[in-house]
Amino acid sequence: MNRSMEAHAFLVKKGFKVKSYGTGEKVKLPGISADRPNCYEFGVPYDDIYNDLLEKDKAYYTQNGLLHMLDRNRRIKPYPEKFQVSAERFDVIITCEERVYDQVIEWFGSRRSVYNQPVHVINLDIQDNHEEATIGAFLISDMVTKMAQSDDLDNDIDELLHDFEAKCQRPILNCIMFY
Amino acid sequence: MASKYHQSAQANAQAQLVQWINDAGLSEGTKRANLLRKIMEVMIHQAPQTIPMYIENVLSFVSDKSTDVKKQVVAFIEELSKQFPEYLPKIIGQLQMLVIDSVIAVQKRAIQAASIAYRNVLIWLCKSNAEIQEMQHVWEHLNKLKLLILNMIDSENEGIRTHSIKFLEEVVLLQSSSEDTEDEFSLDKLPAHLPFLKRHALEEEADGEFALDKLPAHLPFLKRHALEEEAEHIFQLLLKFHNSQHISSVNLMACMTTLCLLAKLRPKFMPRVVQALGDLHTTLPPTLSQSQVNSVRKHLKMLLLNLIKHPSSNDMLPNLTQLLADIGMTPQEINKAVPKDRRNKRV
Repeated sequence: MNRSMEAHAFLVKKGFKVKSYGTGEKVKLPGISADRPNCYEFGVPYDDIYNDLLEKDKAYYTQNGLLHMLDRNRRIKPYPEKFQVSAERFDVIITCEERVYDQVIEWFGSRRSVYNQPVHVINLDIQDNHEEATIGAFLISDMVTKMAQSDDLDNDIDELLHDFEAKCQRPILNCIMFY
Repeated sequence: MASKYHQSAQANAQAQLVQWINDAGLSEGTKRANLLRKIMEVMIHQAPQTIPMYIENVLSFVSDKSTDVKKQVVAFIEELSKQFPEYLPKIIGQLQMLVIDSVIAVQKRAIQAASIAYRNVLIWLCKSNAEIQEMQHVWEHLNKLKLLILNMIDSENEGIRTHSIKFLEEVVLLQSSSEDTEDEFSLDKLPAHLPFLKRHALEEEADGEFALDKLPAHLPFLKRHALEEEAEHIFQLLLKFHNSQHISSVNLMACMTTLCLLAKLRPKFMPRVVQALGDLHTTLPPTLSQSQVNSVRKHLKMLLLNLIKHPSSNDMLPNLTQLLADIGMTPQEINKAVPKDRRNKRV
């Protein structure tokens, strides 16, 4: 909801056709204490989540940036979506955390492909805070721009990611899966 | 009244089609591709009675100079093979041309469509009342097409290789039989006390699927034994590709996934697949960078866990357990991954 949406907003501005998803069971946001997160179902509008937190503790959720983040999100799309129930097919899927990358390849690995259409799955580790999300969005946009410039991504991907990794100094995981 | 409405809707659709086909002839590039998309949508989904009239108009774009237009023709062929296989004799030759198109992107899309068409041709051969010569014509074209793609596994283009792997996976699956293991589901095991599970409905649904034992006996050019031998040969080719030293990391992972799928659905391949994954673990291709090695190892772990959960890996449980231990999983983690009902059977 933070890193992927920051990148989503950035990529849309650059004219890319992009969507963003969560992969967990529920949408989880930090609560007042660590053991009591705020949980919502996918599909609950950002508006409702915003108002819920506003009602619970306006000062606290303003200070920790959650309300600001939700406000940004609701300008991008109406509600959080779950990756595993989406019927869309993509050329590239980018994850910002290894755990999410695992969930994505696990999902592809557990089902038969129907269309035999390949998709590149790429993980770039980004810490889950506001500053890192901003830097991450720049890096993702940089990487995606290079991909878009390639005439034949399937042929260039290994080299492209290798070069990008050297430039951004962050480890990258990638594989190819099929829809 | 309803029929009158239906007739007028059909007439409208046809008039619209003629308009779009004319427009497509006069335009080019993306505009032509977009028109073709609309033409295809109407012909296949709204007014299939127009297919014989206009099929040639769409197929004539097979050698268009625009990549988008040719990809749209591929999509048309793929959809026809699924929805209206009676047109296979008309479209199979065009698909063959598209597979060897001069543009890589078209070739890849055509190989992808060929993997779907391959299944549809086999289903059609099992069910169709077409003339034997027509069926033979389609089958011969399909075999040429298969041979073309088979050789593309050594293409200089990595994406073509990726697509060929996936195509060959489909061929091996279609041309090998799934032995009925005791853990597997069969219709005879359907419980009688569940009214929502109707055998007849399930049988009808399964009818759309292809299996080697449905091969009709009256087609002399379709020989089950030869098909199975060919599947074995292609499987060995995939193993060889998987074990080659200069494979790219992406294609290595695509091939690993393919082999594991074959092992799960065709258990006779399981021991050789587990062996190949074990060999890979000890000798990864030397050309991979550190991150690529990490990606491959992660992929290997995911696939092994997937295999160990699958009933057809029963006999290979000790080998899989050992392999998972070798890649760094603790006995507790491995034990957790094995389904409860099979833990006791462990050696």
